[in-house]
Amino acid sequence: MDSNYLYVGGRQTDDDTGYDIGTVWIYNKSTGVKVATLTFADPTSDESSYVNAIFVKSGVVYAAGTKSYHMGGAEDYYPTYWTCTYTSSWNTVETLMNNVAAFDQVTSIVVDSSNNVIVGGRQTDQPTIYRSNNNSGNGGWDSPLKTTTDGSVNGLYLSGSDLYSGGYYNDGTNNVAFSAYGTTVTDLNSTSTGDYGKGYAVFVK
Amino acid sequence: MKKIYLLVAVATIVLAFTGCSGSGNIAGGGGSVDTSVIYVVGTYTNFAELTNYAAVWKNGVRTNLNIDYTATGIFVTDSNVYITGYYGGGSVHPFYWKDGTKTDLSSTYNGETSGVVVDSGGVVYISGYMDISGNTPGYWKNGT
Repeated sequence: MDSNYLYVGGRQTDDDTGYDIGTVWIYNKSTGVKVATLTFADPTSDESSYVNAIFVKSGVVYAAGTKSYHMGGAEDYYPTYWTCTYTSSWNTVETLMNNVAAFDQVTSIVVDSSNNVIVGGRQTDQPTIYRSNNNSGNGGWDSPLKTTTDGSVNGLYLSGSDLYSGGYYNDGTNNVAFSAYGTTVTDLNSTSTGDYGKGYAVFVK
Repeated sequence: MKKIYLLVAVATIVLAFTGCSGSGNIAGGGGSVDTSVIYVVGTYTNFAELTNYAAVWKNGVRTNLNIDYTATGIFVTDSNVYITGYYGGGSVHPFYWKDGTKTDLSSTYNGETSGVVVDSGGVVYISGYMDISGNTPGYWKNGT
C-alpha cells in the first residue's frame, strides 16, 4: 500500500453499545473505493477508542488517539498509538502510553527515519511530546514545552530530523498560540491586550 | 449483528508517502542558513474588537482569514497554500482557503474539515464530515 491510497482517520460509533471506535479508512485514490477499514476497539468487550491523527510511512499506518476500558462503570483511559502493517492481511500492534489524567489528549503523530514514533498532545494539562525511544522516565513523555495550567501540542511536522510543533499554552492571563522547533518555543500572540490564540496544525516548507 | 453508524469523523488525512522534504538548511561558509518557513494555523481572538478569526502565522507573522472561523489544517505546495477550517458562528460549515480565498464545501449540510493534503499530481484531498442523517465522515477530492 503506497501512494495509490488515501488514508483517513477518525472514529465511528457502535450502534449497539454507543461506544466510539477509532478507525482508519483506506481508499483507492483513483477509484474512490474503500479498500480497508482498520478499527481499534472491541465495543462488545467494553472498549472504546478515538483516532485523532495518522501518519503513513512505507505502507505502515500509524494512528494516534485514546483507548478506554469501561468495566463496571469505571473508565481506564490511555493515550495510545497503533502500528498497522500489511502482509496478506492487516496486523495491528497497540501501544498504550502511560495512564494519565482524564482530560489529557493525543493530537498528532509522526515517525522519524529510525521508525521512532513521536506523538504530540498534553500531559497533565501541559503541551508535551512523547517519543517511543525516550527511556528517561515519565513513560516516554518529554518535559513539557511550557509549564502551564493549560495547553497542548496540537500539530507536529518532521522535516528531515528537525521536529516542529504547534499548539497553545496559557500564560496565566490567556491562551498563547505557539510554534516550536525542538524545545525552543516561539509565542505567536501577546496577551498583554487581552488577545489570545490557539495553534492547531503546523507545516514547514 | 452489530450495526455501526458513522457518527463523527475527525483527525487527519494523509497520503501514503508522508516523508517530508529536506530541512532547507544550506551549507556554506562553515555554517548554515535555515531557510525553512514555518506555518501554524489556528484561531486568534482580538480582545479589543471582540472578534475571533481563523488565522495563519507564517514565520510568526499573523494573517487573519475570516471572522468566526477556525483553521484546522494546512498544506503548502511550491505554488499554493491550502488551509482547512470551518465556520463556527452558529451552525458549523466546512470550508477551505486556497491562497486566502475561501470556498464553501457544502452549502447544504453542516460539517467541519480537519486536514488537507495535496498529492504530487496536484490533487487536493480534504478530510472532514458532514451532517447527512448523522455525522458522516469522508473526504473531498478537488472540492467535490
